[in-house]
Amino acid sequence: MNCAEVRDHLDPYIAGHIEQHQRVVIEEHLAECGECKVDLEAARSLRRVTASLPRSVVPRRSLWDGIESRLAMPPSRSRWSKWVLPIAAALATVALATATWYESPGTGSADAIPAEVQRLIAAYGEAANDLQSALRPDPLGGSTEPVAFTAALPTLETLDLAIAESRSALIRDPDNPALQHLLLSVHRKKVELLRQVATLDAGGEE
Amino acid sequence: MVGLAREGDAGAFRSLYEAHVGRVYGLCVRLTGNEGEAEELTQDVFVRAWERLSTFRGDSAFSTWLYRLAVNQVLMARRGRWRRERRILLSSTAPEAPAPTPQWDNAMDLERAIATLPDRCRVVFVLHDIEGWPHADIAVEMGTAVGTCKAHLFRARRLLRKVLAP
Repeated sequence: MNCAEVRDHLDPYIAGHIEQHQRVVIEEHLAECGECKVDLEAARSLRRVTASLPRSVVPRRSLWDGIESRLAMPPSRSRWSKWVLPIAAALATVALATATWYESPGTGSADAIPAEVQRLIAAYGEAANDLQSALRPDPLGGSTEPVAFTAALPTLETLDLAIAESRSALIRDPDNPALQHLLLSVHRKKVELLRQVATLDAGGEE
Repeated sequence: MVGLAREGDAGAFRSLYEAHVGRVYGLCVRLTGNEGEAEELTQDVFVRAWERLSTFRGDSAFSTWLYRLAVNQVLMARRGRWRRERRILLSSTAPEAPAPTPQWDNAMDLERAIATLPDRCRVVFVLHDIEGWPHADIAVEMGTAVGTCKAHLFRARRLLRKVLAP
């Protein structure tokens, strides 16, 4: 192993989640490489302190008043989200069910996903990010959120969950064409939805 | 309590707020490194949670759903900034110089050091090393590759060593 490969395995090495033969190779490298040994000790120290950090932090002031004044309407779905949500939910259900079906105890790396599939995933991801950035105004800027985009947020969240689950399944079985197709389909649906939302918020008809 | 809040009971929703505000604010302040921004984002998270309670189906714990919403809210607020910084990031991938092993005895020092990290390094460090998220999940949320996440984490740890070195 070279330094980059050792660094890539330091977390599972510290956690003890590593095969014996890999442990031997890493320890051989650490015995000869001062820089990686410093990385290892630093990672161990950091792990100890981060474990001691409290998860909960008390804000300097009460934030409730600023929230309560914005709770004007009871939680409800918009007319728009009523038809689009079931579509996304159905898609997510297929993705989750398929991901579960293909789930195996083995672990893997995203690097094992074929390069062409990785390239398409990255392209869809970039297109979705660009659309979302363009659709959503800076929340610190105080401008009003686009109506269709706001209505689509729960659907987008559902699609993001489906993407995460499909991706996890594909990492476990990277050459599976059905899983590749499924992940790319969900990515494509997300981009299509964002394009629809952009059209609606630009003044198009529902 | 969640069921009551979903029916529009603001009192029940306030109880949920009281139970979870520390955890949500903790996430926001560590992810942003800025108390004022974290306060605004925490308020945004609870308003969005109220608006979306109808989509919470109880498949996971309410806390899990809420914290994921918080991470999503923070990252959405920063994606535009990251897009603008993309070119800068690509030109700043030179390896960090090795730093001595620091004495990390003081958690407050570490909190302050985390706040000084570059934006994406801080987000990956907080989600991976503090919140325990796997790289694959972080990559999906950030819209980036797993390898890029790992590079951000490595850089974050190196920078923390520099900042905290005695």
